[in-house]
Amino acid sequence: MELDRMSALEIGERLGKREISAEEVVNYFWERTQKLEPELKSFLTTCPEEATGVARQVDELRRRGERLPPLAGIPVAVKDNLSTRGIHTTCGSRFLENYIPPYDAAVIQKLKENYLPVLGKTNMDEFGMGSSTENSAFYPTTNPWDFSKVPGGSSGGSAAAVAARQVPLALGTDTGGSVRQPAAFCGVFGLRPTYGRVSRYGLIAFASSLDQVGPITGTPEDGEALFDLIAGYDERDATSLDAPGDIAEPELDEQRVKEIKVGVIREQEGNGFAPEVVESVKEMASFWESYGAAVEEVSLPLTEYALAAYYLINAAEASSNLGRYDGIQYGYRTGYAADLQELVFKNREEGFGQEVKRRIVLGTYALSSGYYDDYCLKALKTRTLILRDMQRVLQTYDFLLGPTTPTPPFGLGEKIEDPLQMYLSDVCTITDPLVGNAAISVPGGFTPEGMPLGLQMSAAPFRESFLFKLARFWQQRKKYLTCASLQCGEKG
Amino acid sequence: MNYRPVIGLEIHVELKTETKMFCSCSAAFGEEPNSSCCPVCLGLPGSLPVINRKALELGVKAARALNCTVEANSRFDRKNYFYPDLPKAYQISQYDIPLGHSGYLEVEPLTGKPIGIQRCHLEEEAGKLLHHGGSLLEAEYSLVDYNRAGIPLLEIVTAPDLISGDEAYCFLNELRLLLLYNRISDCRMEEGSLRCDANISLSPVNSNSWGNKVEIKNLNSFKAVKAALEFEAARQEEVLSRRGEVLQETRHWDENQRKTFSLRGKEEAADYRYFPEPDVPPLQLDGIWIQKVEDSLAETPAERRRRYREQYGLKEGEADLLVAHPSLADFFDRAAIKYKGYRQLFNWISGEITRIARQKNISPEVLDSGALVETLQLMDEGSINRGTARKVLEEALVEGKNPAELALDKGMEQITDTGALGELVDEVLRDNPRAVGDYLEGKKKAGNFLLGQVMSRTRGKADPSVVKEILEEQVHPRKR
Amino acid sequence: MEELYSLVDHLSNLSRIKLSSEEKDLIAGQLKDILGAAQKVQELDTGGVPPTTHVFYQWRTREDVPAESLPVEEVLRNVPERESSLVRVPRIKSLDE
Ligand SMILES: [Zn+2]
Repeated sequence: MELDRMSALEIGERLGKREISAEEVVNYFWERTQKLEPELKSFLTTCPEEATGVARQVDELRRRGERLPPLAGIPVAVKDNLSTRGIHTTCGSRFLENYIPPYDAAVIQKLKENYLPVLGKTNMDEFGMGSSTENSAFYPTTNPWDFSKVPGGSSGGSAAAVAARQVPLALGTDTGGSVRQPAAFCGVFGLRPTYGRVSRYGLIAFASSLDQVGPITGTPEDGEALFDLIAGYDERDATSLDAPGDIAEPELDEQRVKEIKVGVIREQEGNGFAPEVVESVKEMASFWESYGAAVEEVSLPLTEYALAAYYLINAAEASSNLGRYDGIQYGYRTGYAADLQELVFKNREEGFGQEVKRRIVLGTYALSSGYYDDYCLKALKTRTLILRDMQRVLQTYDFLLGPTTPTPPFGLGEKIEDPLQMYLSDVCTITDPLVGNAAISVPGGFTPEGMPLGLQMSAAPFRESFLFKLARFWQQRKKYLTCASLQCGEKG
Repeated sequence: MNYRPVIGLEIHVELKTETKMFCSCSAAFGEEPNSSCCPVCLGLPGSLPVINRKALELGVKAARALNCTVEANSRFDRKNYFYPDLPKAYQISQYDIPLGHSGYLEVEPLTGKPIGIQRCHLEEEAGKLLHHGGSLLEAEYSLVDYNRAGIPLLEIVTAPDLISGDEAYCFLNELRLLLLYNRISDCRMEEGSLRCDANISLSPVNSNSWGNKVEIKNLNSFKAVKAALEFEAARQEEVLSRRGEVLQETRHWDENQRKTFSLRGKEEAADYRYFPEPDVPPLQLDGIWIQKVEDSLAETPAERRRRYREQYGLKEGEADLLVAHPSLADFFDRAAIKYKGYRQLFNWISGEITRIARQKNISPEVLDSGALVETLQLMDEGSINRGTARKVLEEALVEGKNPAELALDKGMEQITDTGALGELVDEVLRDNPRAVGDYLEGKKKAGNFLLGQVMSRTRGKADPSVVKEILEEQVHPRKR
Repeated sequence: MEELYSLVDHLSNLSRIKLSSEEKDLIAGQLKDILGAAQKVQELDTGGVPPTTHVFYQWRTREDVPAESLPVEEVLRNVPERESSLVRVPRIKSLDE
């Protein structure tokens, strides 16, 4: 059985009918992972034994005739900033190379409760700071569609693993686009949930007011199933939310599409936007139009300011969140230090990479006395203006449409020397986190070179289900390839 | 004196909660090192804080007890700094919107002088550092215990309204009582559940200008606060009288040398980089809830003293004494419901109850006030004498027995039958002619001896005053 | 540039990260560009606009009921240097908070 050609839910169905065992499924993906890993390097840690253990448990329960959740027994990869009890959780950082959490993140608990075997921890930009996974302290991950390109970031490992079907499902985290942008670069589906819908407990904080965990999958149906599994209020996360009532939306049919109003973001074209990207947005706009939806251009005039505000808030929170890495209780230890002061300075110097240091310095600056009002506070006020703008726009439109990234996947090493250029590549994905929107990246075709393009649809808080229905409507008709296995097979 | 001290205090109290401020670890004192810790209070990557409702309630209670305005939309902020006892490298505290502000506390022992309370806010405790080999500066290395990390703290900042070490001392005592009666904190300085730093500057008399402010740390008792402030006021005055300059600095109080010392080395102005805590949503306190908390406030120490004086007729010193010991005062209140001889009650509480509590190391809080009431009633009825009452009371309290039964079971009930006593006295007088003779010659000792003989033959069951009377009656006719 | 360099020096101290002089040069240069871009927010008129620290939230507190803590061995599992059940740190030397 070619499991890599099936969605997670399809595999789940076969598991339910006992046409195949969960152990076989895990073995299949584990072998595939091993085969592709030398080229891709999507994983930082693999845990096939633990995964096999869960698979056997699933098989045993099924033998006894127990009904299990739809995704039980389907292997999943999780980003390495999600705490896993007893399993290395490095956050892509030298600093946490040997750190083993004594507890599971809330989402990991949910995976366990639903019997999903975790096959491994995926590569990422250190602490989530980056858009290419090149900031991993260990090694870069490559793009399964072309090994000379980046897979995006910071959840590059998760997106690459799904695009190459090392696993059918993965979890990433999104602070300013870290789920959606790699999903776009790897030609798969990635959701950034409404801030608060998924518990952050155990997610190693980068920028607390922006971080969210989201699914990365090969189909929208898989995405929704995985999202439903991880979402929900958690009393251990004071920023997590109770959904207001039943928010599952009905299937989208051609009748209902006619009632939809789509806003195409005007600011996301022109300077800095690749022509094929702009073209793909137009294609989607006319797609919805052809089904009778009202499609209009909409302006988000504060987009430019949003990027500055985003980077200030992000760096400020990060500088504080990363203060705890002093090497006293856990983490990197330098060789010799005469006293505590020197120990901490050296641990942090040697344990952190360039980008992390840069953000900490920037964030410390934005928070320090004399600059707080002009930078951090100003950014938070700007956030209010952006929020008001967004609320106004979403009163008119059901969702906003734009590209997920301004350019197709870039080459490894292409932007790494220029942090500002790297920051600019997040311009399409930072607004939704600032305002708490739900947003999804869906495959939007390919460049002439065969590299995937991603399109983004954003909607008001709590409308994840709607976004998945839109994605499904789109993908059912477009049938874009979301698995890069052929290319991998040839080269690997 | 040409200068007037201007003093303000900054007090930290640990709140009396079962669990920590932001996690469900036990907040109990004195557990095995690092045994009351979880990812949250250890600041492990990925952990998140959730507010303890009880801590919030106690914070609001303290704020209202101190007549502060409660900010329903207060919030938490991060105070960023590096120290090995601070696991997250930031303390979750409150910065520009404290839970309570603009209050005051009237200090009755300072003839009701109101001392301004600038603010009170909630925050979390740091871990405990143990310095190996002497003080911080000399220690070769240090050890960290995170059990204390995350215990809820209330910081109270006074206005610079105090003018002497003595006033500071009185204020602290009154504040402590207020917090104790409201069960907000244990206020045990020896366990660190109450700590105090003091600010002092000198202001020339007849002037509104203030001199440079000195902060005094390492104050381990209220007496130390008083002594340090007095020392510091004198030191600063001496400096000023030489036309010297008082440096704005932090000084440590040395309890042994009874002096303050400047900490060497330049002090870099701290930059705490405060910002709103993203992990904790801003407070949305409900007005009705705040009112409910306020309604649960205990009477103030001043109100209590007045009640003891006016309602129970205690003298000023007696009322002060009771109120200064909340566990005794509470005991008194419990007993006074059922026993109206208030002065008697006070005497027994300040005497016997205090003695028993101390000797048996039991807190008066857990002693049964009913036992005292019953014992006193038995004594008032004449069933037992004072000496027996003491014994009955102690046994009743320590072993939890019923005083009336104790009196009966152990045959402690007093012999009140004067006929039977008369026979016993007659016996004793006949057996001890010499003592009788001595007594009739005016030797008091002989009288006590005879009394003792009677008492021992009754095995203490007789009322000595009655025996004395009978003795007098019977001994004089024997005079030849 | 001189000014930026000493700023980076100050920030490296505040954030407890030792930076080599090359790193300082590099970061000072990049910081200039990044701050230039961040300056963008200054152009906006935000008079009377409140800051948004939390986009939306539901007010939550927790009951004061104790739960199991971690076993001491788990607490100490990642500790590089310990003495019995305490975490050991080298001499603190300076007294800064
Ligand atoms: Zn805890």
